[in-house]
Order: sequence, then C-alpha cells, then structure tokens
Amino acid sequence: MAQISCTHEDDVLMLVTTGQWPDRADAGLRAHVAACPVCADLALIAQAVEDERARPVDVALPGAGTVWWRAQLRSRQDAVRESGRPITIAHGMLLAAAGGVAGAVFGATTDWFQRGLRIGRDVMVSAFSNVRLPVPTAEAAGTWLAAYGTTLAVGGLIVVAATAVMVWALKEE
Amino acid sequence: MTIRDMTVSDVERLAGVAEAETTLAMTEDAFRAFYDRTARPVWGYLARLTGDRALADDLLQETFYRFLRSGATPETEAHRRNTLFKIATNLARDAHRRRRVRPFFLGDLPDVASHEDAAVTFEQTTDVGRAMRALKPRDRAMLWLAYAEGSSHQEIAGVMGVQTASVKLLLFRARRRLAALLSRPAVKGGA
Repeated sequence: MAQISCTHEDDVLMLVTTGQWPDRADAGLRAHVAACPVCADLALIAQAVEDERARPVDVALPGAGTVWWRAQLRSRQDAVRESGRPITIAHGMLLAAAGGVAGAVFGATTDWFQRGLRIGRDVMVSAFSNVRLPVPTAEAAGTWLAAYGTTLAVGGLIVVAATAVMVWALKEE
Repeated sequence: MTIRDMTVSDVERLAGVAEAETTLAMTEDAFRAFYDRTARPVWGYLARLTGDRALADDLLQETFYRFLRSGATPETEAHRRNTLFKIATNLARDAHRRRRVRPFFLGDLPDVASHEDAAVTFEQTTDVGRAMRALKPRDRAMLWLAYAEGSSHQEIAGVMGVQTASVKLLLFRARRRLAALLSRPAVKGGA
C-alpha cells in the first residue's frame, strides 16, 4: 500500500506557507523532500496553490455597507413574503368561494344555462337508451343529471376557479 | 425577485415595513469588520469553484446573507469563517449542479500585476489553473482550503461534510492527481 503521510509534512507545509521553502529549509529536509514522494507532492502542490492565491486579481467587491443594506432589505422582503403567505392562501380561498357562489347564482338564474343542461340531459338519455345496464338505467341517469346537473356545474366551476386562483397565487410567490 | 431586480418603489415599500421581523446574526459594525476580513478570500474560493466571476459575485452576497440569516452565533472568528466557507461550498455545489460550469483560474482574469511580473508568473499560473480545471470540484475545494486558506483537517471536514479521518487520504489523492496533471507535457507546454 502506498504511503499517504509523512512525519515531515507539517515542517514542509509551514515552510511553504511562510514563504521560506526551499531557500530557508535546511539541507536535511530538502534531501528528504527530494526522496519522499508524499513530501515532494506536498511541497509542489502547496507552493502552486499558494502562488495562485497570492496572484493579484482585479475584482471590485461590493462594500460591507452595501452588502449589509441589501441583507437588511432582503431580510425584510423575506419576512414580508413569509408573513403574507397565509393571507395569500386566505385570499385564494375567499376568491374561490366567491367564484362558487357566483357560479351557483348564475346557474340557478340563467335560462339558457338551464336549457343547456336539459339538452345535455336529453343527449345523455338518448345516448344511453340502447344500453342495457342493470342499474342505473339510462332513464335513471337522465333523472339524476336533471336533479344534480346544476350542482355538478357549480362544483366544476368552483374547482376551476380554485385551481386558477392557486396557480395565480403560486406564480406571485 | 432578487435584490438586483428591485425597483425604487419596492425599496420604499419595504423600508416602510419597520415592524417586520428582520433578525440578523450580527450587528452592523461587527458585520462590516467581519466582511472586510473575509469577503476577498471567500470570493476567491467561490470564483475558483464555480468558474464564473459574475456568479461568484452573486454567491458571495448570498453567502453573507445566509450567514446573517442563519441565526448561528459561532463563538470564535475561526468558527464564523468555517461557517461562511461551508455556506459558500454548498452554494457553489448547488450552482455546479444547476449548470455545468467551467472552473477558471487566474490565467483567465485580467492581470493587474506589472507586465514584468506577469511575464514571470503567468506561465506557472496558467499551468496550475489549467491543471486544477481538470480536477473534480471536491478536490479543488479541498486543495484550496488546505493550502490557500490554511484550514486544518477538522475544519476541512466541517466545510466539506466529510469525516475528519478521511481528509488526509482525500487530500493525498487530490495532491497526487494535481501533481500528475502538472507534470504532463500538455500542461507544461500550455496546450
């Protein structure tokens, strides 16, 4: 198994990081590094990375005050968003309920809507008239549709309205 | 919406929310001093991990913001610094997952050293940069933390999320890989 550490590593690393390698290293350590693959790699890589770190870079970092101000602002922004989320959901539910009520009133008071429902019922009845089902019969299905058609339509409207509101609220988030 | 996208009216509206809960982990004075000491090393680390100066700028601010919002109150400067590098590492890792970025080294950057200095060091630096580009992000991060930041094995383990006992072996392997890359004629020849 290859050797992965050496007792001289700390000495070599200290000399490299303090800029004393190899000039200030004693001859014994230099000889050791020349013969020890672990220390040789360490000296080479630590020196290369240190040179890379020390290389001047032309970068204009934002000032501490700017970063602090932005952090404050964003912190408030996040706090507002977090505190506003329940309100958004409540608004969504209220809007969905209002949409449902409006749909129910519309369905119950509009003649052409009622006619449409009756036509739909008749189509269903004729479509199922040839089908022999034990229960329910086509006639029973038509009766059921006539009785609950409005409720079904309103329920559908509520689902569509609630979905639309939730999608809108999530997009706003 | 990011802070950069905010309009003046957004700022005014938010400035009015004085009662909003805005708990940050430091006072402004403490933050300024801490930022002045750590921003440049963190930027250098992020730039090398992500390979994108603009992204490093953004991640730098995100790093400090998350540090401030973390609520953590590390006892010592070293703890604070390690927390900062840990956040930076995670952000760079996320950015790397989102898009495969090419890590850069300073050979890619405008050189502000004198022309004479540049002539002497540019070849070496581009060799190192080119070789490090070929490393895995984890190897780059570990080598940078160990030899540019002088972090201990325990600190590296904390930042990278690995076992302390594994750091020695991982560093050894990363050194071997980089040394092998640096000794290749293609790298040495600047191909």
